[in-house]
Amino acid sequence: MSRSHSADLELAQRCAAGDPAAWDRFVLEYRPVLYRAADALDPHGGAREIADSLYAELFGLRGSDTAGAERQSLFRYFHGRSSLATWLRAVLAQRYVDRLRAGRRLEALPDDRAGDGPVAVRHLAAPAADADPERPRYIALVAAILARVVAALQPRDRLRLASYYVRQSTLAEIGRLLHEHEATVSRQLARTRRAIRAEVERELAQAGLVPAQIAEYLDAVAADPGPLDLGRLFRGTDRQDQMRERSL
Amino acid sequence: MTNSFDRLLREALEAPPPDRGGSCLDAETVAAWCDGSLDATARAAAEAHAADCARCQAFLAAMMRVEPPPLRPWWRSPAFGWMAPLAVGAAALLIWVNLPTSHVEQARVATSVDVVAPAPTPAPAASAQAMPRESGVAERAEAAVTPGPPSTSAMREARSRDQQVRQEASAAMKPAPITPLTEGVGAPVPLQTTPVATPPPAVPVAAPTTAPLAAAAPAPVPPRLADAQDALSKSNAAAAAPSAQPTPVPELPVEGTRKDLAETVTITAASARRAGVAGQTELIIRPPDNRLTRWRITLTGFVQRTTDNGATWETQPTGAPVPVTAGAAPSETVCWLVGRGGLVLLSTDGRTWTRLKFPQARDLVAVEAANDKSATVTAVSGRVFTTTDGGKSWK
Repeated sequence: MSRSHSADLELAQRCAAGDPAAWDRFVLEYRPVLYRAADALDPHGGAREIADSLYAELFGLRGSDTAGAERQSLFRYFHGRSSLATWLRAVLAQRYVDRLRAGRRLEALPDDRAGDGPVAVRHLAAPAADADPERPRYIALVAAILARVVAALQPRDRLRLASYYVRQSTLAEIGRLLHEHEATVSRQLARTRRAIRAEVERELAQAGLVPAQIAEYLDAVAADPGPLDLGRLFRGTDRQDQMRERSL
Repeated sequence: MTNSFDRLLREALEAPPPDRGGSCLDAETVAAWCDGSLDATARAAAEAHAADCARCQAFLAAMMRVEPPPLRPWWRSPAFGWMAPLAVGAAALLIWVNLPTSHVEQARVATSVDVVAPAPTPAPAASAQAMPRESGVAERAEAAVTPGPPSTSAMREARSRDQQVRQEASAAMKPAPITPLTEGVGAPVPLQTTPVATPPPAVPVAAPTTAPLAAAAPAPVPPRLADAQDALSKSNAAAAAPSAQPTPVPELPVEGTRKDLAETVTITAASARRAGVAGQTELIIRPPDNRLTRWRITLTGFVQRTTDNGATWETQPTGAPVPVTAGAAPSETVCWLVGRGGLVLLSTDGRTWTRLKFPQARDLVAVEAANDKSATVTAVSGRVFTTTDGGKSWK
């Protein structure tokens, strides 16, 4: 534990114990940190409420209803493994994500995902290949291969890909997360993408497709996956294998 | 194709991954991850979980959004990013500005061409003592054509080139000031010196004058010229005070030689470059029979004359619009100057100048004169023109 973390831990413990001087110092130094983080999460102020709630939890009394209420500050979860500011941001981000996910579960899926580009494309795409009876087969084939290749990646590569393609994180954010330079992130993303594509094409070629067909299938699947839910296809390795066997 | 594949990849990554077990990351673990305080094992485990956990991915993405970017070191700040090339540019500019000056300074110190008429008698030791300690190429060149005491001008003249007139306490000790010529650094105009030869010198000239002097290829220092330089150096060393060390200067090969008439001794630009004195084009013209009188052509194109061995200089307007490249003074009142574009100037009284008509607008690089009537000039092409009627006609 670094020296600064020790100081943060001491401050947190004093705040948890109800030391007014420590709390004054915390308010002075860390309340702006919380609010800045909240504004970064939601520039429209939606996360300020979470910050206030968190602020109350850090200070507030929680516990028994008896007269001798025990102080239950959120500070007791801080053990000095990081700086206090980072920990506060992490707690705030966690609560923000949880609230967002909880809210999304209450909404209809199509409306909720209407703004997402690829999914919207998937739903809006015209069934151009309805006439092709082989279409469901090769959609499932491509999806299964892709899922298996992605699953076989190193966790760090997969996390990098997911952060970039799904979470829409910037290269700088991914670099900070993985402690890599932006250029390294970009280079690794390109490398992983090339490897995935090569593997998918290799497996499709093994399935008997010629390059022209491979390109056509990939385009077709990307443009209109059809009624198949790729997510369901990728849910488990066993099911993927079953799907692959069925498709083959 | 590329976009579609990216879309496919995004679809696959959005799909819920297989449950690989493990609990989601807590805030403290994520905070420690972001601060870099997780050990390798814990971090690998956290990455492995986050790679397949949509919630933790979202958590991490949100965390990265609220995490302030790390402070850059000062040398990577945007301000410094601009300052670095600016500093480099400024340094380059300074070098560019100062480099020519340095060359000029070096050349100025290195040499100043000054060839005088030979003295009829050998130089006494006292004369050698009177020489400046930092004898230069000029003295060496002078020694090559005359056995008399070398000129005292070389180094000090070079250093005082910015002064128009410099009063000196002793004519023997103190050189006359030299004003820079306009040719500048690296100018291809050959250096001309004007020895005047009458009696046979104690140190004979190695080779006879070959016309055209300026067009001639640079030649190595003739053996006897080198002997003269050595003798001069020895004389200087013997006469010098212990604290006065002669400044080493590059040897300047002198082309051409003296004759029984006033002539130009040409130091070509190539030989000057070899000697490290490129661009130094000081021109001193001495009559053969008078050591107190001489002309000089400054770098700014002025023609100046002294009659007191450099104590005072008189600037003489010539009206010449082009630089003078060579000159010859057969007597203390007669001087011929030639220059580019067929410039021929003649002074018969030592004070006023007359521009003579020249048949062709050629660049003239050398002149030899016997008196105010007879002169031979050499063009840069090597062609020689001679007049015997004071410049009225040329052959």
